[in-house]
Amino acid sequence: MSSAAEVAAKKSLRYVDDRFGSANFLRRSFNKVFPDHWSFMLGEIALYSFVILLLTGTYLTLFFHASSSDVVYNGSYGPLRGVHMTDAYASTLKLSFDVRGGLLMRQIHHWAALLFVMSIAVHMMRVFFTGAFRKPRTVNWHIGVTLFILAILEGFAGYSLPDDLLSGTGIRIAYSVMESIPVVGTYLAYFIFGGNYPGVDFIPRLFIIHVLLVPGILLALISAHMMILWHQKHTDFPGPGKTERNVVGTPFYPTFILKTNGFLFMVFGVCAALGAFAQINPVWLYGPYNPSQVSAGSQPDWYIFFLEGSLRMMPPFETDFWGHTISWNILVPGVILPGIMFNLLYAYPTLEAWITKDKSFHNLLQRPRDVPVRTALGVAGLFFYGMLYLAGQNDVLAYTFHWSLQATTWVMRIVTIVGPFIAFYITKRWALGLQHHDEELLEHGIETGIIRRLPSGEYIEVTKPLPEQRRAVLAMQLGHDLPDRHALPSENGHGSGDGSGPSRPIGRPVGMMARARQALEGFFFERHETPQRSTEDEEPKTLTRP
Amino acid sequence: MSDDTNKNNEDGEAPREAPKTAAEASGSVFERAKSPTTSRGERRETGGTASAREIEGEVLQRGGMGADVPEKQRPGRRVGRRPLTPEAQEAQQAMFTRPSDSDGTHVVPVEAFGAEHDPAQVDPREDTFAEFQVSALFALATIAALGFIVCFLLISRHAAVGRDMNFALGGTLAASLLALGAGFILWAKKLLPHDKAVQDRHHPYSPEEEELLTEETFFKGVTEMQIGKRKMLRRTLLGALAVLPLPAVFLLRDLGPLPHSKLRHTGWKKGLRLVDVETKLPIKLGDVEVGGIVTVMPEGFDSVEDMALAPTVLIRFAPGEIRSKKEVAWGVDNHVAYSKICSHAGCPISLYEQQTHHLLCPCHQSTFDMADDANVIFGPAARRLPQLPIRVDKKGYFYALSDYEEPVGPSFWERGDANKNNHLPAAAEESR
Amino acid sequence: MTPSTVAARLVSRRRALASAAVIAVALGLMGMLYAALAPKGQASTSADPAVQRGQELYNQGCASCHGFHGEGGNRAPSLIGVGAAAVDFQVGTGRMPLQQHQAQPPRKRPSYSEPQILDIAAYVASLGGGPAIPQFTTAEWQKADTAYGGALFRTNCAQCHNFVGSGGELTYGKYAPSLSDATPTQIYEAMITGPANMPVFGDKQLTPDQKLAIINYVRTIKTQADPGGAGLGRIGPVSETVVGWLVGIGALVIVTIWIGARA
Repeated sequence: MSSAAEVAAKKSLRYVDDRFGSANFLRRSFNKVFPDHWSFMLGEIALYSFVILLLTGTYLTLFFHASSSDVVYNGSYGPLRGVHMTDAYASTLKLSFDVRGGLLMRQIHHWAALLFVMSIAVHMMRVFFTGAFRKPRTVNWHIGVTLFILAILEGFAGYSLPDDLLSGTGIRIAYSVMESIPVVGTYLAYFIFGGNYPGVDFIPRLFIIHVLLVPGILLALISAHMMILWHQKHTDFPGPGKTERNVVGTPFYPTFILKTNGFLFMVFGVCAALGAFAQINPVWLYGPYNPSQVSAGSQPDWYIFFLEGSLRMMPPFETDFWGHTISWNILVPGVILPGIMFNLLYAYPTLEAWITKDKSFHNLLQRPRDVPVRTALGVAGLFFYGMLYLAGQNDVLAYTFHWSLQATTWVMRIVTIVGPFIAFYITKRWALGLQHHDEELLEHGIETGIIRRLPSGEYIEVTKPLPEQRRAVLAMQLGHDLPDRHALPSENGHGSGDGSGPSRPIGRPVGMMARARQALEGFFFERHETPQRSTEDEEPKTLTRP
Repeated sequence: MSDDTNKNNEDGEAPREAPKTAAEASGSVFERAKSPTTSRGERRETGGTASAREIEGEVLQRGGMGADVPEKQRPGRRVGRRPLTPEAQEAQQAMFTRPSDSDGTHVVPVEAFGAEHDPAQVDPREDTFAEFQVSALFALATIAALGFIVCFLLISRHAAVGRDMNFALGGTLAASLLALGAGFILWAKKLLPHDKAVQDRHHPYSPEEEELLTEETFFKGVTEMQIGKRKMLRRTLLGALAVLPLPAVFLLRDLGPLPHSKLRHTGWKKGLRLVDVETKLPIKLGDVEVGGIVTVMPEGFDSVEDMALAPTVLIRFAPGEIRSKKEVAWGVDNHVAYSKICSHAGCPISLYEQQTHHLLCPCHQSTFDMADDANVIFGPAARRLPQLPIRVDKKGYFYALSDYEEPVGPSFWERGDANKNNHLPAAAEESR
Repeated sequence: MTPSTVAARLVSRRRALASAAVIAVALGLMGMLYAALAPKGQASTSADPAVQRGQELYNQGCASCHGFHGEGGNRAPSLIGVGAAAVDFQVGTGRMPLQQHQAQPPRKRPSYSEPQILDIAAYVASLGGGPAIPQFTTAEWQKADTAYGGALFRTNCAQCHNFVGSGGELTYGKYAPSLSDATPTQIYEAMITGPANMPVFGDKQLTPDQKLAIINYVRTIKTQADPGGAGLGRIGPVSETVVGWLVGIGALVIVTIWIGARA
């Protein structure tokens, strides 16, 4: 660093500090410690995809016309010349074929959108299976679930804007889902579409939702998400020297900032490479939307697959009563089921804390095997979701693998219901097995493979104890250093609803809720039984409010 | 600057001693970043046997070949996953238990983790090579970005339907971004020290006095406002707050018209001819072959809204194939017309199999038996497709006897059970 | 070819000598021909050598299922009235003869050479009626209106064959095949004959010009480069999703692991 530059840098720091008093804040920010683990960067993919979406999306708005007015295409794509279409579709074609780099920007935008939602999903899985959502990070989990839902809505809105045959089919189904809502459905649909389907108001309305309303909320929530993360500091896996009270890792400046900047460009680069070499959403092949036309294999983008799949698998139920109709065949898979799924996601941290009576603060993560029931519940849920996801493409699967469409659907219906239970059982056993292995490692040490014959003639296998540091970490992971769960102080006496004090002897709980809670607690804590070991700890490993 | 460096060296000589101030701590990070080789002597002194990565790897990422395998069997690794030497452990312990700096941060040199081999700090030639690598990547990023501009200007924009342009622009952009990103990452990985930093976590909650004080302040305000006592004030305020959102609701009223009975009607009317959706020409008896299907619209259809509900399929069967009497009666001469809009979610269905007479919806695979009055035989649709009663006029053209007798398309709340209406419409009776 | 047309042709050859006696001679010749073929026990009604060759091939390869007179049977439909176009399509795309019973015969290498197929087609056509093999030149379909063809394709074909003719699933194991291997003639034949479960698109429903427009659209799209890079099978979001997970997320996870690992 030349001294002139150094002086300039110092001057700027002073300049900022004179006005904002930011020196302390900046220094603390520079020194902010971020733990190293590859899985902690999954959320960053989402963050950077969002940045790419904002950049490319802004470019696209310069050319896109959010209008349903009828035009005759006269651009440079031959096979559609002279065809009537909406201005939205025509401007998408113009953007793709008559603007240099327009197609590239559209494709990067679309790929980034897919990656955005995908990385949110993967990031959520990481947070779920490591228990990172536990107190004090519950609110950030809630924000995250909201971001996931909004990302899906935002993606669907973007997918629908070009008004091609595929997206039009998607909007039509969305309209039908709205219509199926009891009492207010038709009014809702009429208000949103400005009249009967498809109308001319929908695309301009959708456009402003897609480019202003939802991105605005996303931006605000992402900021909140990051600020909370910044404030609470990142979680970390247990390791040498790592405790609930410290964070060990890389300082934000300079190491982390270089890495994360590099990662931003890598995410952008991967999106650009996909946009350059893999075609996505070729609207010119789908053709303009026409309500009387449809294509075989009409699928939404991936994040709607689960809704599409639930609609496809639903048996034909419909109720008529007193001159009214409830079409369960749309309402259940299209409204009720996603409602339940997302509400379960919202409620899970609270539910788990209620069941386990866990009121302590957690900064160290758990391995999936450390909490077998949570892991198994997560895998069962993912399995269910995965089946819906696959059912959303049942016709393509049947066509590709030469299955019967009807048989495929029936098998999927059954597996969707039965499979999660099997997935739960297998995952739980697996996790318990891994735990068992860890317990043995802790108990007997590493198998050396050496067999020794004792003078008495007895054969023994020589094991080597684990290094002390590893023993401590393993014990922490297996929860041996935790106080007995029943002895965990129940905060303020009103947390669990059973009114019992902290030192309550385990007896028959009073009240339905309390009994249900205790039953669930038994379910949650079933684990591989081993003799309890005591490890001396220098400081308490769990943080509870004094 | 050089003063600081020297001081740092001294620090390195006695690494157990914490920097006295936060400024010193951050200063040392900076210095190490600048000249990473300054702490070489320290490394020799600690003389650990396993690198930080190894320890961390052992504990955090135990893969297939975990610590269970005795280290002798570990193939060809220079630094194995060995336990820390007592000195290294001691050093680490000292670092972790040390009282934190004013901002809760202290930097632990990687040596405290017993690192014996840290490429960035060992070989100046490796260091130079790493710098060369990173610079090469940055240079590549520049060249690729320039390449983008060249391609933009030189390549014909319509070559191969624009594919060449997309390849060239996307390829150069991707290369530029990936090179830049990789450069940053390599820089961090190869040229920066791998020091660990340790930071205290604050309690997420405030000290109790803080909380009490806040509560007190809050309730002081409540008392001052006397919300509890001033009933009238409270009630009128609640009233105002409750009513204020209503104007917003009313503002939304004009988003669209009310449905009224529009969902029950389509563009079909008595006497309207069936015209081909593409050519808009009326369909004559005999235009459709046996086993044929054609999408038709009411004559003179125009608006997009017509397109939403009116699409209809006209199917011709071989004599005797239709099994439903009602279907025969509503059709004419083995020709029948059914709504193309699926009774499930409104997709236009026309995947017609002429031998099995199945009509399949490509959206959710509802399957209708068209020879049996469009009965649902598979899938989520709960209702038959509505049939359009048709006849043939004297010139041989098909025309509709009436609109659909029941609402077309997906169900909705106000629909009611309109499906029981299976008798011939009045108009059809007349014409017979 | 029916006896009357053969007779008419014979008559026309001897137009100069047209007389009752000549007709009588012609009928006599016919009778002799009939007598010559009759001992084989199979009714042949034509003197056309193509029909005769076709009949030979038919008896060897098709008659076991479709019957010796094309009357059909338990295992196969009647071929009377299906026309030459149906034969040219079914045998020309290798769907017939069947190799095994499936929900639907797949496209495969044809078992017969092109002249043989035409012979069989001529024989089956001689059994009665049906559309002939469409005759049109490459120039004819190539000058048809692509955009119009596209609109017609989306209305009439895309619901089963997908938006570019990549194929799609039908009920109970049946499927609409991909159009990528279909020749223009075969596409035309499929439209006029309605093979298997495909609906028939007669010439009054889709005029020959419209059919050629559809053919031109299918062929244009098939040969057209994908402007955005790899076409990913041109089946829409399903394959895009697979690429998104495997390439997009896959590559980025590798990058995260690379970043996380020490140099």
